[in-house]
Amino acid sequence: MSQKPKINLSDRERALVALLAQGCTDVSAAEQLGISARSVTNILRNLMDRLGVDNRFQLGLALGFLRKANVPGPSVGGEG
Amino acid sequence: MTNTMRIDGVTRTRVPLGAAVPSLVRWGLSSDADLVFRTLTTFGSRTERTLAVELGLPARRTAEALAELRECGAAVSTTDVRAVSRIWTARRPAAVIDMLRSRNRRQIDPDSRVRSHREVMNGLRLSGIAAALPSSTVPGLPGRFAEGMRYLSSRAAARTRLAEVVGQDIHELWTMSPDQSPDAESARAAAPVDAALLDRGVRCRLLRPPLADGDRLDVSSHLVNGTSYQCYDSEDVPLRMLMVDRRVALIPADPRDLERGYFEFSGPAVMDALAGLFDRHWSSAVTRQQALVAPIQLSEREHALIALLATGHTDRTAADILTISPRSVTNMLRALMDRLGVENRFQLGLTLGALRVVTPPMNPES
Repeated sequence: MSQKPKINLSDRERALVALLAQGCTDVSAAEQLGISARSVTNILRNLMDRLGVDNRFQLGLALGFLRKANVPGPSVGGEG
Repeated sequence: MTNTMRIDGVTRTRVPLGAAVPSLVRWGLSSDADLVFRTLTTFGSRTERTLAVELGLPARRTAEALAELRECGAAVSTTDVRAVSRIWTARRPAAVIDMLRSRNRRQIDPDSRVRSHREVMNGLRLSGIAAALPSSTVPGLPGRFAEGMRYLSSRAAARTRLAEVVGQDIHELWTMSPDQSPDAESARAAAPVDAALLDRGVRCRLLRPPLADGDRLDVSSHLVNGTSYQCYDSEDVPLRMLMVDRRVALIPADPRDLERGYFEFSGPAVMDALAGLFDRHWSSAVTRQQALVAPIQLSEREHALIALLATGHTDRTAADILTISPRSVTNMLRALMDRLGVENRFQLGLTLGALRVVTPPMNPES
């Protein structure tokens, strides 16, 4: 990979990714964010499309690679 | 542990994100303890409750992990009366590994050293490779007593002979030493010799038990494990041996008393056997050491699987390509998740991505 792809996460995406990174299920993440489980699916679908990946494993891989979430941990971007 | 909190060696600065933290699992701790230690090391001090929430660990497992870390000295807490407000801090990884090493290290008893020495020598004698070796005594007279075998009848004679061999145009000097605490005098005597060998480009290898005091007197530390001077720890060094270019080897005649001199071997069959012995112990020590510092080591099969999944394969298509069952795929991933302390595929991806295990295929819209 010659060029690091850039992707900017919205606040909502960040919050969701952080929760999933802690091991939350879609449902519990949805509850904590006060959105529906269907919205969670949609947000992730959209994120996967933007990153050009097909499944959750690849999504994790891409976000981990881009350092968009800490593993495992609550924060996005490195602040503990 | 007393009630006073000792703060020496306790980490104050965090380890940079993504830096390799040695795995405590290799030292016999649970993967939960390892995960908690990593978290404390990377993200700084935390309470038990914060850890549990962040890691998604059940409270009981978090408590057990912390108890384990406290027990081996890897983490300490403040001494608040209420457990919930205690703040946990990890010690520096290097200090922790040192402690675990000394905890794991049983003092090698001299009798077992003598036994393992005799095993090697008896092996050589009984296999006929060195049939002329005396079984338990030393030869009566110094000098050559069989083809390719000499008896150097004192420690001084052995030193003189070694200096002579090493003074020639040699390429490699391999040493096995069962000493846990080499005395300072002989270490200081060896240092200039080692330095001279390095200057001449002689590649030196030293295999020895982890030192009792962790002191490295022999060679300046920056030279160690460079290309020409390599030293690895091994718990089971079978005997004392010096070997030059896989051609000549010196081994004490009596492991209990070095003053009784050394045997010098130079026959091709003996040298093959001894070089093989050294090679085996060396490569296992190197492998262990590498496993210790790598954050995670994937087997070839795991790596192949992860690479396939990274390109978008499903469990089933990846299984087909690897000619294994989908069930094996599931099991491999489960085992990998356990080792990394994560619960699901998304977290597994995050961790492997952050560790740069594989490169994800990404073509984000511009």
